[in-house]
Amino acid sequence: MRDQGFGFESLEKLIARDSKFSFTMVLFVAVLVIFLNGVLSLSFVVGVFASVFYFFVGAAFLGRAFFGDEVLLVRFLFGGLVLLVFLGLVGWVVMIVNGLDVWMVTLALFVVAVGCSLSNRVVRRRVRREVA
Amino acid sequence: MSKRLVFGGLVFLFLVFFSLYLLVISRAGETHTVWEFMNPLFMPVFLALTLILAAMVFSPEGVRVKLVFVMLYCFVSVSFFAVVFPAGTLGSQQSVLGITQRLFFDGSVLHGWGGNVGDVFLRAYNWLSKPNFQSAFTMVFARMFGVDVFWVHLFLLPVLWGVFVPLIAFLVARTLKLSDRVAVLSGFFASAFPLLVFSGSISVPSSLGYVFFFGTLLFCLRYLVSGRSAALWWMVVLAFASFVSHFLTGILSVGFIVLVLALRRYEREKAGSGFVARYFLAVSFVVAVSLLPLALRFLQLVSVEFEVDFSLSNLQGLSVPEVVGLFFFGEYVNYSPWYALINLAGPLLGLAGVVYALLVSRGRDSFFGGRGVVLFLFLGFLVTFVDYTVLNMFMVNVPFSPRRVWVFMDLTLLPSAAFAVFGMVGFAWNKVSGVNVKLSGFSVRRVLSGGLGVLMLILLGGWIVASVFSAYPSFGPLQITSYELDAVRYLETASTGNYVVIGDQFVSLAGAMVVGVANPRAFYVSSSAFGLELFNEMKANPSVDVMVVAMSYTNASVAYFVVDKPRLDAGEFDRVVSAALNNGLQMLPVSFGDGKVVIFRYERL
Repeated sequence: MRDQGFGFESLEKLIARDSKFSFTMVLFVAVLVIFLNGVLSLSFVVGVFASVFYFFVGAAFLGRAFFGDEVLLVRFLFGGLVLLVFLGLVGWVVMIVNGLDVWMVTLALFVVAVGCSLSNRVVRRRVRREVA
Repeated sequence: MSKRLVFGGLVFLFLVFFSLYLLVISRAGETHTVWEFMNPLFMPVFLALTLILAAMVFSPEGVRVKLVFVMLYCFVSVSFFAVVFPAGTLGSQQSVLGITQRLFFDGSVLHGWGGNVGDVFLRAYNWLSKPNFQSAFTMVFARMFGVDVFWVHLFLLPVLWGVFVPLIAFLVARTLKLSDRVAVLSGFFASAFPLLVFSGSISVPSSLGYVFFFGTLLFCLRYLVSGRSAALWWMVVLAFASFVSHFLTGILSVGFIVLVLALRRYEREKAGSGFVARYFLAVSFVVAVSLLPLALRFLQLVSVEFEVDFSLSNLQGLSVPEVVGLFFFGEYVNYSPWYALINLAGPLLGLAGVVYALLVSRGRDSFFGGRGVVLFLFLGFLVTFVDYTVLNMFMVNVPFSPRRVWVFMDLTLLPSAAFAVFGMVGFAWNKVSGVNVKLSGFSVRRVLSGGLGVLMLILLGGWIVASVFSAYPSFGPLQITSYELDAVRYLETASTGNYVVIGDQFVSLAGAMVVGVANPRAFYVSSSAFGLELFNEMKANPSVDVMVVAMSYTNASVAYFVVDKPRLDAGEFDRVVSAALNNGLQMLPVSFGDGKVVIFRYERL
């Protein structure tokens, strides 16, 4: 399957490079916006926007980290699937421990965001070491 | 991409949005089936959509775009219940929504559903067996998007299924070293198995588990092909996600992992001690097969809800031909021939594909991903088939329909069905290409190949549309109506303190979907056995005394009695309403559904 890119590939590379933790910060800001939206009940438009950013960056991190051999679309969608699995499992554990109110959902999102960023960094570093 | 593909893609996208629009305008407040008020334009548009996608699938270019189109198509085909019915289909998915609402609603239930019982083992069992994992998913998304749990729950499975089942089917086919066109066709076939369409259309834990089971199957195959530890790791993670979604899908995922590990060992050792390798594989197969029946049998050790046992009582009174039919075709033997054919066509084609690959792959490592992969798919099919047969014929009081096991068979055979269909089309195409006759200047080959293309499209498109059609029942009970939902939403907004509601079980179900199951602040009494008795008493003779008894259960200050015309017959409805008025009950000035639902109120002073 040929990978045509449409410019998404370079965007994905940029996200995965995560220079100076810029896209990790985007993830954290998305979590903050989701939290504020939950507490202040602003609008579902705000929530959808922040969530789309969260999924996009998180899926790019995980897709690059774990499915680097695949083509862009599959890599991205599989990153999304893994993000969903992690989010579900962390959410499930948090719910069992202390319910899932706005604070606990924020905690789950934050934990998964840190996991995405760390996975991306650790795997990238390992690949760089193997290449060297 | 050629201009033809771009044009076809634009038409396809237009038809996708048009068919979704037609589904939305077919949404009915009071309906029994999705077909009852379906816009007459929908099926022709859906057929056109299918034919265009079928034509595109067989073109050699634009694999990525076609895969996205297949996902969109799959989403449309599994979203009928969520879009057309006011609250999804009646049954367990609404009960799961009730539980999720209860966990979400006011934060009064901590530690998950069933997580407050004293017995530690029972608590752990509840965390794993109740719909906690799906509820956690729904709640996280609802908080993220800022959307009502109700909508997130309804569309959770259609969206996840629509995206990931065709994607995984595509990747499974590619892992089997099938061509891109067969891989896309494999994704397209996710809509050709009625049971898969039905499973994807309802938001229940088992459907979520199927998605993760299918992911496990993919990584099993990848592990078998590559032997990479990453594949093993993902296989285990997805099997765990499948297990916490639903124990049925989890146990079969574990069964498939046992099989794949045994096959890896068999592949390594068969050259040395062939007998030991074969013996180990046979033992592993028996273990994989036994996991589900034994787990069900021993469920009663942790929960008294179940009395599953092995028995021959299902076969009593059946003749030998009936037993043989039941063995080979399962419960489909009792269905109409047309319905059975539509349901069995996919699995039978898939089985034919696997058996063909099994015969041809001997000594050809590159064919169909290699001999080990073919053997794995065949053994996987056998595990699901034997488990289905045991549950269907030799076990009683199984807590779910054995038909759910059939879904695993469909998923396992999906790529090989695409392989079989593509092989048959290719065979016919080669035969036609060999014709080299001209009649009065006309090339017979061109006429034949054109005719074959049209015939293939009609057969394929017709089969898939018929599968989607038969996936959704053509008759059924009255679904939860929009005005029942309006009534319970009104009660929630109009009440300030604790209240109880006496109504039939449908009103209770609607209430659970809005305020959660057994919520002490907004308690729908018919969700319990004593509550049904109260409702029957109120129906026979509506009185304040019964409402006071209901209020005492949760110490509520207000009680409502909801009378629902479509659930009673018209004469009974009029009798109950006039009796309530005669007995001095106060009727609320609002009614719902043009007077089909009326509410009486009593407040303790």
